[in-house]
Amino acid sequence: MGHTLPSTTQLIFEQIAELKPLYTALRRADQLVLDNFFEDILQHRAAIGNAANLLPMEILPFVILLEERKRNNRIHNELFQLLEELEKKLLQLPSLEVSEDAEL
Amino acid sequence: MKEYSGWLFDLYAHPKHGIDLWLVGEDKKPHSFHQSFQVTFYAGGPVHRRRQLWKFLKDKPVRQTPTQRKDLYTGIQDVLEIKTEPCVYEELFREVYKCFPDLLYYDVDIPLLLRYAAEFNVFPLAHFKVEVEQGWNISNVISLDTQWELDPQLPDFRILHLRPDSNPSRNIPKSLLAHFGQFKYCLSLDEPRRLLSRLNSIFQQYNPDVILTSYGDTWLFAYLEELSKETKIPFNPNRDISRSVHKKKEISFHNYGQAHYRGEQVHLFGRWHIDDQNCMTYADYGLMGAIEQARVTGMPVQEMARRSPGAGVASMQNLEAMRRGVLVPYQQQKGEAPKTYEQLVIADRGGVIFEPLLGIFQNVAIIDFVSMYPSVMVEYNISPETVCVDEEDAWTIPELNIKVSSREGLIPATLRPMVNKRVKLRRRLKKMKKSDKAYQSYKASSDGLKWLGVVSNGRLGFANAIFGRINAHEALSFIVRKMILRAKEVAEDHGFTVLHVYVDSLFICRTDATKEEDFQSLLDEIERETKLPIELEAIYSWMAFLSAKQNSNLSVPNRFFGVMPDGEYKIRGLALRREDTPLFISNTQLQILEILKQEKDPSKLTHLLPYVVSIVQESFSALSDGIIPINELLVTQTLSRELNEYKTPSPAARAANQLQAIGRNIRMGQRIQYIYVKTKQGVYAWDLPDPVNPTWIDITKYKVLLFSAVYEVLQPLGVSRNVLKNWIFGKASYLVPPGQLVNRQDLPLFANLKYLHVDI
Repeated sequence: MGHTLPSTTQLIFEQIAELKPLYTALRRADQLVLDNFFEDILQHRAAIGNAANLLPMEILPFVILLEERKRNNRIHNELFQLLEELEKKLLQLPSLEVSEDAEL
Repeated sequence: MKEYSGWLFDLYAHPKHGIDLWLVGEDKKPHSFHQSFQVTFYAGGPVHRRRQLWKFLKDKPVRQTPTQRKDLYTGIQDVLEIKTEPCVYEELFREVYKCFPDLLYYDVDIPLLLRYAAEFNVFPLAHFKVEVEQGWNISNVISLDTQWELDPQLPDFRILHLRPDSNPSRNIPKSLLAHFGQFKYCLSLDEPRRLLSRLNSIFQQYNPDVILTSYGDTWLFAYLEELSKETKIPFNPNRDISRSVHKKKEISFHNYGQAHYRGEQVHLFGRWHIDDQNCMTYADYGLMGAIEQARVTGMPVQEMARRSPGAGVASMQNLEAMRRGVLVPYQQQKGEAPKTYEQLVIADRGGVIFEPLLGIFQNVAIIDFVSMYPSVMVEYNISPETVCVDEEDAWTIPELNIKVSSREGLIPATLRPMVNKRVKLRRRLKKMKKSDKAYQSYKASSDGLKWLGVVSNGRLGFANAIFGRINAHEALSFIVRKMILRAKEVAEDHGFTVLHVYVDSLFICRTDATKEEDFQSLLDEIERETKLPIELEAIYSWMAFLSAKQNSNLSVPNRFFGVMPDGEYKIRGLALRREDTPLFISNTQLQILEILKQEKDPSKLTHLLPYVVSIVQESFSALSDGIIPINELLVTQTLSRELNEYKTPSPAARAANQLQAIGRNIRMGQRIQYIYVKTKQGVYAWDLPDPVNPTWIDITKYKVLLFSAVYEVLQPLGVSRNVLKNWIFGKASYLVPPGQLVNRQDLPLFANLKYLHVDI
């Protein structure tokens, strides 16, 4: 029992720790974005572990991209849905008829 | 010549020669016999050393024969076979090992019962027949039973329950409660003579087969022995009264990363003694489960009930090896085959554990592989001697660059009948109602086997396992990972959302899958694809996956809870499942779950929040008012190391230090109970002679613990810490009133963008 190599979680935390100098030199707003990236990475530990890559850092950007794409898709879908609803509602509005004797 | 049939009950070395054997007869009476039986062990190594050993043993009470036997890895070997009487064997081997430590020894560290089981094809509690000559000497043994019988015929045991009225490590007990058959007695400890006479009379008249005690190992029998010396009234709990009880020393050890402590053990001759407070997994399956484990592993019941299932699996392997004529090495393991770093990165991993999707989900089904690790070992022939072979017909695992032999290995052969039996038991249980008469007995047997299956995986990679090899363990883990991911793919092909994957289980949901039959085609396909048995465990009305304590956006694999339509829970990782949670806090968490389980539709769970909040407020008020019984505030923790090894003592270590200061023997693995108090040390050991002063109790600390436990179950409903604080302490509802929250997964990203909403 027990493993010779560090676990995926350990590896990820090591990678995050290595980015500390970069992190500290960023503005707070940018640091928060980076925090989101780290959360995305930690949510995919099983997949990163299964990739069994010698250099886990190579895998991490893919995971971040994957989460970003999911967010983009979600935003896209919701926007599209809202636009559809908007279109439907606009169609239901009474059409504007201009009478001849109307004063402009 | 006479014949007796019954069940093999106990067996031990006769003080002079052969063995004494106890049988519980079909007439329900115990019978004891004598049988000639010799212990055999083997010595291998260079010829000249074996010859020296032969000369050394020439004048000893042994029979020696140079012979050939099969070694699991190296094939046929020249060895010296040494046979001797069981009563002198241990001392003889110690002497041999001291003089010839360089030789390789086989079949050495094996209990007598296991040797007997291997030779006569019987096992503990086997139904068998003996032919007896004059003088109660057994001349022949005929087995009438197999270990793999689903409905084994077992005798009706005469069971005597003995337990003191309080925990002896805390209070001096005042009485002993005895329960047997229809009778219940409360025997006062103030009258030692009367106590011993009553017990002697129970032992003589009722003649129990089994004595089930609480604190029998660590207190009762030592106490009774002392009383017997004081009063000069003889007391011997053995059925074989020519023997005195056999004591085994206390021990602290690590098992699967956890510290354990096993107190001194008291084993009896001709009857069993089991102390339910000094066992490892006995509480999970009880006597029936322990009997099932003993039947399957060949280990004596008294031993099996107390030991870890790992010892049982080792015993099964030894038994199978001896029955196959394979040598069981002494203190040796096959070394690891070399591998590249890249192969190590692929191989050195455990099971697949996903990070579940956060939130509450409706109609969640759990499907899991039945005995997955042993099933893989059996189906894919994973055994220490079958991996890393160089055979033409072997199959390859290219990712690990190892070949696996197609000839059946020792471990698959050992596990195959056990796996088959458990699968059959599980399928029978599935068709039964819990109220059915046989349900409990099948369940105990199935659970007993489950534990053996669970540890069979670990044994392959365990450094001290005789039949273990790290390469086999890695191959096994690799195949398991592959199979569960294949199952995930199949589930997704069937339109299911995979919420969670946990080693051998999948948590899945699909809007239209609500009944058992909706999952059958999926299960069939997974079984076809993986060749492993898989089952639907249950369908839950809803299941909540919790976030990490430090970050509410991150999920954790082992904290979730769900409710079945019949109201039964599945709970993992919640405070109420943890040993160190005070009873009062567990009860409050359970009360919240009781309220939540009334609602089957997770989208309406928030409607129940007002009821939950009022219960929680009552609990906080009760804490502040000091009306919670002190024993409900007790925290129990296991010492993870010896006291002198703590650099920063944990609360449990601080409490243990208090106990050590009054002369108590404190060892790693012991459970320590304490109360949080407002003193410098912060804790007060429960077992100290003076009771804790109620005014010392640290109410704030308990409020923090209670708040965490409440937040734990409410956070999946979208309740934040601040909102909960306002509800409980501010009694405010202006932020978000209870019952009007929206579940987090239902919130669209643009929920707050009201300007996009158009009213007609």
